[in-house]
Amino acid sequence: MNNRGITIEDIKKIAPFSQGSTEIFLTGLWSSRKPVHIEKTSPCRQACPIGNDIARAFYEASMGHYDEALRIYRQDNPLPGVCGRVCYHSCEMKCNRKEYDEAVNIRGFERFLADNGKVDIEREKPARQRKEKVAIIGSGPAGLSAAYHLARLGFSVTIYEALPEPGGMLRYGIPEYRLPKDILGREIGYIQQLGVEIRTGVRIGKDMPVANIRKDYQALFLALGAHGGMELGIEGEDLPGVIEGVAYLRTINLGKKVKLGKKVAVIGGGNTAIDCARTARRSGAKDITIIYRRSIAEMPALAEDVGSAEKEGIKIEFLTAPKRLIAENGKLSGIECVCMRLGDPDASGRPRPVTVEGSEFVVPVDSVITAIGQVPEAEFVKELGISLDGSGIIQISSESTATNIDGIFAGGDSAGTKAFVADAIADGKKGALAIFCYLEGRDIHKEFKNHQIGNQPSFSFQRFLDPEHYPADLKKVIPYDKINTLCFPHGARHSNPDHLTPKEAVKTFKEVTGSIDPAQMPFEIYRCFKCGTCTHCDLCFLLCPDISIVKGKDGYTIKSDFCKGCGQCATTCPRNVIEMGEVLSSQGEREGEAPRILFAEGATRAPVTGGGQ
Amino acid sequence: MKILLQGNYAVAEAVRLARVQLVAAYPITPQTPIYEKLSDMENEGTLPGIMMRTESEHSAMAACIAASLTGVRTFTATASQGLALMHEMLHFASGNRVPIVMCNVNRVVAVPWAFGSDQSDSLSQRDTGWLQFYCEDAQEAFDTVVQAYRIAEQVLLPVMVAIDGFFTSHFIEPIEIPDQASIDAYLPSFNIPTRFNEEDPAYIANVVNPEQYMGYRQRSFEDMEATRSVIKTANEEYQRIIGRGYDVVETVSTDDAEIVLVTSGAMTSTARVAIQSLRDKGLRVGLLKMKAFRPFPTQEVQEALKNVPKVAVIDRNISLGKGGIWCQELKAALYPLEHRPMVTGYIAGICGADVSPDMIEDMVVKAFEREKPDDLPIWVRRDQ
Repeated sequence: MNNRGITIEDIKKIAPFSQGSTEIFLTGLWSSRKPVHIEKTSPCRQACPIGNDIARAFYEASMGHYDEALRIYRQDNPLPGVCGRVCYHSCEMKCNRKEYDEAVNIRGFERFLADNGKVDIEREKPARQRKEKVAIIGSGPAGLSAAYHLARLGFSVTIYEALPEPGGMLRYGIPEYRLPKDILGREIGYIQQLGVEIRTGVRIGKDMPVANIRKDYQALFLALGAHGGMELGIEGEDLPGVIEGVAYLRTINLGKKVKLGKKVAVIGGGNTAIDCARTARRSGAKDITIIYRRSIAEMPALAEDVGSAEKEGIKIEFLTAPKRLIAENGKLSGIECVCMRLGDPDASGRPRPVTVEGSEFVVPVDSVITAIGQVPEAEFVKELGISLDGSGIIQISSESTATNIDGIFAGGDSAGTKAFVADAIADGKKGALAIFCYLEGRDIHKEFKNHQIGNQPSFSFQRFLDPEHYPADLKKVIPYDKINTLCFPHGARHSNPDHLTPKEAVKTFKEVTGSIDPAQMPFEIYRCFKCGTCTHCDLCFLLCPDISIVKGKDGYTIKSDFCKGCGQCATTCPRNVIEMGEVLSSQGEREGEAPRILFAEGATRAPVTGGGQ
Repeated sequence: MKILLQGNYAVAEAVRLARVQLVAAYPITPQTPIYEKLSDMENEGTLPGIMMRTESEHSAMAACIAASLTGVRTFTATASQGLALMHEMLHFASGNRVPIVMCNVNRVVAVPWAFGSDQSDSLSQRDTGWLQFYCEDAQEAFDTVVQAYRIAEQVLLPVMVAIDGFFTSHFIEPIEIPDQASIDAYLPSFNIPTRFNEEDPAYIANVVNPEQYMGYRQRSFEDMEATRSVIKTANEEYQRIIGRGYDVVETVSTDDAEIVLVTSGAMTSTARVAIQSLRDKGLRVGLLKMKAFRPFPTQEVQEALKNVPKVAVIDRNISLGKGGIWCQELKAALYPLEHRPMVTGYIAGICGADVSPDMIEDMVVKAFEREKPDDLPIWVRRDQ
C-alpha cells in the first residue's frame, strides 16, 4: 500500500497483471521443429590419431581448470608432454579456427598442460584388478600406451625393453633438444605408478626365451619399433664413414660419441634425417648438407623442424639423389649425385622423383648419414610363428591389431603404422582395447564402432569406460560453417617461442622451443571455438524468446511443450551444440509416446572433413 | 526571478525538479536539446535519477513502462518519427496503467522529410489512451510537465505534453523556474506498489477473455473521464503553491464575441495579437485556446461557444479525407448545442510555415463574412 492507499489488489482491477502461471498453455505443441542440445565432436579431435578430447580440455582450461584439462588428455593419451612437443599436430591442420584466421596452437596447449598441470594418478587407477597378465615387448610410444590403457583396465602389465632405459624411439631416436629426457621420464614414471612393471635390458629371444613369455602371460602386445636402418642399395655403402641414421641417434642418446668428418651429408627427408643433421651440428660438424630427392613440399619431416635446421646453418639439396659413394685411398671422399625432377604421383600420392639424365655431379664429403627409413629387427617374432611381410613388418588386422597368432597383438612401427609418435600411441590404445575384448570375449569391431570418433580410426577411451555418462556424440563432427563466428573476435595465434637463437642452440642439446608464456595462454585458450562442447555461455538461455530453455546444474534442457521452434538458440549457439531437428508426426507413433525428434536430412551424417593426414 | 531558457531546457528543468528517477530516451530533432540537457545534468550530478540511452524510441518507451511498473517515476521525450515508432508501446503504457510523462516536440511526420512544427504526430496518437496537453510557450511547457506527474500518478494513466517544434522548443524566452522546495511541496514522491516483485513473481499483459478485456477498457475509459476533476485540482494546487496555472481551455473576450477564433499551441500567442488588432478595428472577436486534447474538454468548449454565432478554427495539422483535427473534435463537441455556431476550418502553419498576425486577421474576417458553412477546410499558404 502506498501513501495514497493504493495496493496491488487495487491495481489488479485496473490493469491486466497476473501472479498466476501460464504454463497450462502449451504454446509449443504445434511446432514441427525443435532444438536439440547435443554435445558433438570437434574436427581437431577427429583428426587426432589418438582421439584426444581437445575441445573439452580447452573448455576446462578456459575456466582455469588446467589439472582437469590435463586429465581429459590423459583419458586417451599417457604422453601429452611428448606429443605436446613432437607431434605432427594433424589437429591443427583441421582446426576450424584455421578457416577464420589461424589454427589454435593445440600442440602448444597440450605441452603447457603437461608441463604445468598436476597429475593425480590415484584417479586413473582402476576400480578393480583383473587376474590376467599381459606382456608388452617394447617400451616406445606404442608399448607405453598399450601398457597404460591396459593398466587402467585392471590388468597386470609388464613391459620388456631391450635397451637400458624405457622410451624406445622417444629416448633413443628423438634428440634431447626436441624432447628433454626428464619430460619423457616423468610421463613414464606415471605409467609405472599405475602399476606397470618395466623390465629394461631384457632382449626377448636372447635374455629371456620366447616360450616363457607365452607361458606366463595371457596376451602379448608387440611394440618393437623399427630400429634398423634401410639400406641405400648403392655402391660404396659399406665404406668407413657411412653411418646409419637411427643407429647414429641411438649411439648419441646412449651418451656415446660418434666421430664425424668435416663435411657431412645426410641422405633422406624425414624427421630422422633432420634430427641427424641437427644432432651432427650440435656435435661439432660445421658443413652439413641434407640430400633429398623430392622438393620441400614432399618432405615428411615437420616444416618447423626443417626451418630450424636451415636456421642452424644446415644446407638442403632438394631434388637430388645419391648415385654412388666415392672413395679415395679406401676412404669416403664424396657422393656422386644426380638431379631429379618430379613426375607423376606414386602409390604414396606424392610425385615420383625421376632422374634427369646426364645431370650427375659430385659432392665432396667425409661422412654420410643415411636416413631413408627404418625397419623392425627382431628375430624372435619368427619363432612365434607371426607372419611378416617382405620388409619384416608384422602383419596385423588394422581394426583389431591382432596378429595371425591367437592372443598376440602388435602395433607401432614394427606393425607398419605411420612412423609418428601419435600413430604409435593410437596403436597402443587400440591394442589395449583389443586385448581387453579378447580376454573378455567381446567383439572388438562392435566395441570400436561404438566408441569410434567421427570417421577416423580412433576411439574415445573415456566413452568406452563409461558410455552411460559420456556427454558428446562422437559421430557428429562440427564443420566450420556451423560455428557462429560472430561470437568470436579475430586474434593472432600465440606460437611457442624459441628459447635459444640458432647460434646458441647449436652449442648445446638444450630444448630449443619454449612453452607458451603462461600470461598468454588464457588468450590462446580463448581463441579456441570449443567446437561442439557446451561452455555454458548462456546465449541460448538468454535469447530464447519463449523462456523455454531451462538452466540446470548439469547444463540446459529445452521445454519442448513451450518451445515454438524458432531456432534462435541453434542459430546463436557459438559452437553448434544446439541444432534443430524435425519432430516426427504422430502418425504411426504409439499413443502416449512423446514425439520423437528426427534430425533434418544430412544432420545425422558425420560431415566429411577429409581422410588421413 | 526569471531566466532565459529555450523550451526544451525548460522541460529538462521540470524533469529535474520533479525528481524523475529514470529517463529513457533516444535523440531526434527537435527534441534533442532535452536529451542533451538531461545528459548534462546527469554528468554534473544534478539529475536525481539515471538516464538510459536506448537504441530506439520503442525501447525507450518499453524501458519507461518496465521501470514504472517497479514503482519508479519516469520520463521520456521524442518527436515525429520517434513517436510513430513508439506507437505500439503507447498502448502498452496506458493499458498497464503506468504514469509515464512524455514530452513530444511537435514536428511533421515524413514523407516528405522536414523538421518544422506540425501537431499531426501527437494528434494521430489520439486513441492510444494517453492524456494530451498542448502548450503555448516555454513557461507553460515547464508548468505542464510538473502538473503532468501529479495528474498521471493520481489516475495511473500516462500523460503526453506537446510543444511546438522550434517555436517553443528552441526559442529563448524569459521563464520562471520555481525552487525545489516549492515543487516538492506540490508534487509528492512517487509511491505505488511495484508489480515486479521477486518474492511474488508476476507478469503483465496476460491473456484475458473478451468480457474481461472489455471490462478493462471500460474501466480505463471511466478513469480517463475521472481525470477531468483531477486535472482541475492539480492546476488549482499549482496556482496556490507556484502562483500560475492553465485551464484545459482558455477564453479571451468571448462573452460579447460575434466570432471566436480557436487555436492551440504556439500559434495562440500570435492569435492574441491578431484579435486585439481586430478588436481595435471594431470586430467583436474572441479567442478560445485549447490546451487539453485528451480528455477532450467538451463541456468547457460548449460553455465558451454556446452563444457564439461563428467560429474559426486554425489547425496546424491535417487528417487527410476530413480536415483539421481540432476542428473535427470541436464540431463533435458542439453538436449537442441547441444553437450551433457556424464553424470554418483553416489549415495553416503546417511544417512550421509562417502564420502572421495579418494572416490570422484575414482568416477571422473571411470566416465572419461567410454565409454558408462548409465542412471542408480552407488551406492558407503565404504564396497563394
